[in-house]
Amino acid sequence: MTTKPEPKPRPRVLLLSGLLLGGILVGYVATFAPAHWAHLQERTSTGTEKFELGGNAQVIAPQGWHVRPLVRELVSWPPLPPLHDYSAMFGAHTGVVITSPDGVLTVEMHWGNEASFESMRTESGAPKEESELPPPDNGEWRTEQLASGAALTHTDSDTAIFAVLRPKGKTNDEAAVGVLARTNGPGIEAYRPALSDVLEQVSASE
Amino acid sequence: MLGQTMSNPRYRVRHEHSQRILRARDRHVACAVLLAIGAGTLACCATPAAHSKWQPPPWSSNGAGVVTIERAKGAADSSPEPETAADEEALQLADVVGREVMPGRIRNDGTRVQARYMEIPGATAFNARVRAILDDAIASSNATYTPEIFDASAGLSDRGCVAGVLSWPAAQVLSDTRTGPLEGTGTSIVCEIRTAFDSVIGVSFRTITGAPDEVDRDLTVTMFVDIETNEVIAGDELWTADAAARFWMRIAETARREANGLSSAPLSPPNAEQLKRAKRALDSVVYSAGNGATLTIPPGFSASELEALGLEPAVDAITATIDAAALAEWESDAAKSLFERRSEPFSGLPEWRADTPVDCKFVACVAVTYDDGPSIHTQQLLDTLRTDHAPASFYMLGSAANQRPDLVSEAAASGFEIGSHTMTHTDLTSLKPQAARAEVLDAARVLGDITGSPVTTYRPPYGAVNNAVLSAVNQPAILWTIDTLDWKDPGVDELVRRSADAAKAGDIILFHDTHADSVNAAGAVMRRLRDRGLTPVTVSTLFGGTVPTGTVFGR
Repeated sequence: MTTKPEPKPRPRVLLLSGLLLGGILVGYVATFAPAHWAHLQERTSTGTEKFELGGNAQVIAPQGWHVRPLVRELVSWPPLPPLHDYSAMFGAHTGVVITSPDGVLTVEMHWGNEASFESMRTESGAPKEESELPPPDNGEWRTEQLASGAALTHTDSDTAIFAVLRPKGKTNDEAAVGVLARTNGPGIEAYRPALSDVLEQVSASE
Repeated sequence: MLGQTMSNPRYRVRHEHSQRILRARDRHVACAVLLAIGAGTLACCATPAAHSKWQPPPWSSNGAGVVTIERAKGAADSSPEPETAADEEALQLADVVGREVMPGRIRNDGTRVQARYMEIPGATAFNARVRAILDDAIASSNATYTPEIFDASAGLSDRGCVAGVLSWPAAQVLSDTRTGPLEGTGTSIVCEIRTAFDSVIGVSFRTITGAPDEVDRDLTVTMFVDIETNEVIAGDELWTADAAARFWMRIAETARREANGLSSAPLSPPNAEQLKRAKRALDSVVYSAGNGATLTIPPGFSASELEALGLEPAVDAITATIDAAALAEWESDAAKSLFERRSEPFSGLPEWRADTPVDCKFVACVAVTYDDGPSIHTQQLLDTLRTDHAPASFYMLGSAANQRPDLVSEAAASGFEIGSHTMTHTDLTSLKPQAARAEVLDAARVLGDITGSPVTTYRPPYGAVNNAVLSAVNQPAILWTIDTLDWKDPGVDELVRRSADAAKAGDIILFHDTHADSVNAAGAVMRRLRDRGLTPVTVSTLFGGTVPTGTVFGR
């Protein structure tokens, strides 16, 4: 009796498995990986560390708050998962997400322009640009100067606030810091002082 | 080869066995990969544990305590306010303070002023401030003031403060006939008792000028008087030097947060115009039962930061409610010292007296007099007059006084004026001067001994007096301007008509308390006099405390 050779089917199985796995990985990297990577980067703020927002703007998160990079959605094509901006995984300053210690309030902030703020504005339910609104006396848009010297324009709902912040020294720039603050259920009213503290800590270096 | 292999049964069994093992391994590898991906996904999606005990911080306050604000209804809203808890509290306070206050009311069409006010017996400093408020209102009319009287339908016996009036719309105060000037245009002054504790009473006076459709001025001042020390604290004296500015900043900060302001930048301090508004708000303070207070900021409150948030200058008044902690930051030491006793029950006011001073140049006064007593009817008369807080003067016979000295004492104890009406009711002009003098002064001595106070005026029986009698007696002889002829018993209604309906300022009215109808008519007479705007006083009060010499008919 002689030993017979192994059957051929195993390499094909491995090849098919490999192709399937590769496809899953590519899809994962293009969709979920940036957000998962951002979660892995999340850490608790010391209250003194500056976090980059892009465009030489930074923010100091209050002590005890959680900070992770902001990963923005680039393409939305339901029912497929959206395509996310993976440039943060390669060192780009795409903004931050700051979460309150109780996990209720999240504040997304990034440096950009009106186009890049579109998704924030949409998610907050805010009306279009200030210039397209009726005069401010309709109460929807508010303009203030912060204690830091920054100019803040914002519109508020019960659970979300969309704002555009121009740090001191950059009040004439078209680019600014876009801010989307929202709560995961409770009204945002109780969190306005905390949000104010965060906004006051936004600055821009020359 | 393969075919020969596969035709071997034992090989076929081993091959199939190997295939099963390989398929199992593949499944195991695939499962492992999927599990690894799943675990990695869960690990990546996991978030740091939330700190459930963390609480979002409140706004950092620019002061202690709590301040809330409410926009008031516009002046154009003239619908009457329904009775509220504030009205109930005002009524209860009026009951606590009691009837011993001196309610006042002036209706003066010439200056277009109607004032409902109160004075407190013995509280001269408080009464002087009240008078100053009235004088200011009259002076601002630029018209000559003369006390006015009306027919009985004017209903001016309803006097004093009005519970709840501070919360009435200004237009309502002007247009209501109980409180408003002629045709609703001019000046109204109204009052409301705000607090009463220990020996302290707090009263707010509200002055409104204008017309129902255009109110020019609406200012409230609250005064606190300690009736034991005669000390008054009002206006600026209640507050620290910087209270107005700090109050304004507090209101502006509250408004900023209510307008969804997010900035922590300090607000700009108030300009002169805004500071003036804040001071007027402090003047309007109304203290609440819970040791806090309410203040009303006049229309026009604004701040540049608020306007940037979309808040235009307020067209309506703003009501600010402050708690005890906030109030304590702004109160002066004098106010704190006063309100330390806030939990003590009100000690009460002195009993009413008929000789309480009245300025008869300011109000239309009438002296009601009663001759020939004390009699069996005098007790009833005294009871009626005390119940109605109606002053009167009694010209008593010495012989009657000897028989009822208790009534003489009782009348004097309540401040009623007592004069001599001779010992035996003799026509003094029929006597020699010395005898006339004895008739008058003997009775005066009897009355003086009973009351403990000298009797310095007399009424000649039948009104009969001549120069000889005047010289001999050497006291003012009090006669009258209205003789009701009550000794003919015309009936109560006729007595009211002959006296109260006919009287004018400065009159002296003659009754006799020996006639039942005269006594029965007393209440109605006093009410009718007051309905017409007249104020009953004693004869001495009619003349400002100094009765002229000689024969005295009226003022």
